[in-house]
Amino acid sequence: MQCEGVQIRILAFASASEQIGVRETDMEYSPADTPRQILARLCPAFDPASARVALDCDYVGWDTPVGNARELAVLPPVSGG
Amino acid sequence: MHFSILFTNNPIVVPPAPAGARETGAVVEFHGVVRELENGVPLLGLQYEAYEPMARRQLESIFESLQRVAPVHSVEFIHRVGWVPVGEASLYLRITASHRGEAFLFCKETIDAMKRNVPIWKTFPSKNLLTPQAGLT
Repeated sequence: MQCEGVQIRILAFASASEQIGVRETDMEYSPADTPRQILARLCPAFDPASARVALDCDYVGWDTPVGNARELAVLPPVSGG
Repeated sequence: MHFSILFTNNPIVVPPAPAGARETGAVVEFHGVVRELENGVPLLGLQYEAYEPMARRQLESIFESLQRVAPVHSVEFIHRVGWVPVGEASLYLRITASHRGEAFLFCKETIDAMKRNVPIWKTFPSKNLLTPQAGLT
């Protein structure tokens, strides 16, 4: 069950933003939801295997419940430098 | 250890050396420069983006971990975001330490760890491709 009115911010970077179609959006969620479930609602065609995910700036697994996190970031392979 | 992390849209300006470091015997600097050929394709430049709050957290964690194996005095880390033309630096890293071994190791390991885990990306917009029509000689 989703918490009515409680939202998590979704951020998508680099190629992930192109695949998902947005760079930033807010979604209602339940603390038991996982990033995989949330992304499936946002963009069913998105393949989680193509990126890593972070909750409140920490890498987590795609099947980790989001709990009280306020920000979910979808991070394709990094390429700084 | 003193460290500084900066993301900037502007060309990198090398900051003044830390003062009063009489125990510093080694200063290692690294400039990562955008080159014209990327995988054999000529470019005008690269576009960088970063998830800055997380990048800072990751870099701080990297510095703290490395400090246990290669103690250094200071770290200056600067990374460009936005458009970086060919020939300009996208990354600047300066390490000061008592000895060169720690300074070189810290510098190399920071860059290696950054390329594994720090959320910074470069992209290659197709409009940047240098083609004969765009003036490639």
